[in-house]
Amino acid sequence: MRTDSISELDLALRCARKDQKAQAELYTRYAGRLYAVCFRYIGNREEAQDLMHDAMIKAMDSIRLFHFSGEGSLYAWLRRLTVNVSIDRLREKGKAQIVPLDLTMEPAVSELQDDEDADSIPAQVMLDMVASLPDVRRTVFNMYCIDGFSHKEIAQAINITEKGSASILAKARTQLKSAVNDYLKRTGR
Amino acid sequence: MKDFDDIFKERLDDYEMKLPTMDQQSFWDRKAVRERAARRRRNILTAAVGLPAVAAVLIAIMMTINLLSRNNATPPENPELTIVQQQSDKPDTDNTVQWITIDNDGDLGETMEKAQLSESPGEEDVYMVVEESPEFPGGTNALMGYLRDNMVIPDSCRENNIQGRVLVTFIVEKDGSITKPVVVKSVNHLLDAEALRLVSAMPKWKPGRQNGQAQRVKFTIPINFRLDYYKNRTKATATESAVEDIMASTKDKTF
Repeated sequence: MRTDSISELDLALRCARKDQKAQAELYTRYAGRLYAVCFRYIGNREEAQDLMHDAMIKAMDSIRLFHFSGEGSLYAWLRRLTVNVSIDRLREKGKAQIVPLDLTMEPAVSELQDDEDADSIPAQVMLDMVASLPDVRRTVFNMYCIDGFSHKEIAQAINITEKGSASILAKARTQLKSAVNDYLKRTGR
Repeated sequence: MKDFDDIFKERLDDYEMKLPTMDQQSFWDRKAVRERAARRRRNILTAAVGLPAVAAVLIAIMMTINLLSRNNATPPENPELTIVQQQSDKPDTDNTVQWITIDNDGDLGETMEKAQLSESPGEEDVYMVVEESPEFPGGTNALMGYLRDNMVIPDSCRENNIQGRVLVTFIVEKDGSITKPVVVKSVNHLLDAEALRLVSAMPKWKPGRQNGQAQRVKFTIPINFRLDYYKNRTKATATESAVEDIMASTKDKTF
């Protein structure tokens, strides 16, 4: 049987037996998507690659714990694991971070004319926009808007308050909107 | 608001990013290194349990001394250390590996191990591992500080977003001077050159010692060239947003 045609369940079972070919297939199938997840959270390619490796190794070590519940559940499991690994890393980094004090107001951003305009932006550009948000904003935006965590979960995960999370999210959105506007202006739309 | 989020979610949910071509190889390398380290850690444990009680105690002392010398950066001139060395020399020739793996959890350890594995036995009188590792004046933190303070990232790398980790191997001579710096993992020729410059310009190290004698020791250090997001922006924007986030997150805690 060729490895590229086997089902998710088989793949998971064979990985659990430490079958090298199955592990290679796991990598080929999911590395790119998990890399994107890491990049989305960590905002830096080099580090995202490193993080993806960590997550992948962890996944291969603990795939015995995976419960199959239909096609797509393997990816969902891997993705959740990757998100958790990413948040852990961010939390570690956060400890060492020093925040200089300097308060200035952020310029007001005009609302998007038409949300549909944003649809024309390539996914990689959007990803880069998310990646270039400051750490805390990026984390909250990712967790809430893309990975579907609640403010309560976010608050617990990164040790802020629920209200704080909501207000950071609003700022993240504002910043993204202005990035989208800039991009649309630059590309002449 | 919702629409805006949805667009991002839709586009980024299952988005696949292209990995560098060599990524899979480096992934397997890394996995293998990890597994080897884990296996050795297990082996050492079984060996320690299996050996007579005296030997076990001696190994424990050895580990403690090793850890202490790592942490305090003041390796003790302890007679016990010599005894331990002689003891552990006997059971297997693999004793160098134990020295590495025992305290191997950090990055530096991993790379040191790699360097050791790739070494051919050709070069005489250059040690890979000694009782007392050579040391940058002031220890590892001082080394990191030195690299941070003296690093100059070429403008062209900054513009083209070239960054990464360069591994440089060199020899710490008996008098502590640095010779034969070689890039073993390259990122870009400009960054490689900068890494070599940094290494060559280091102040004299404290030489490594074996049985109290200064020896030539091979050493590998990783040099991280990182273009921080913040550095690319004007200072005000970066700090302002970071501070606002912190303010927002602590606001209802404090009031």
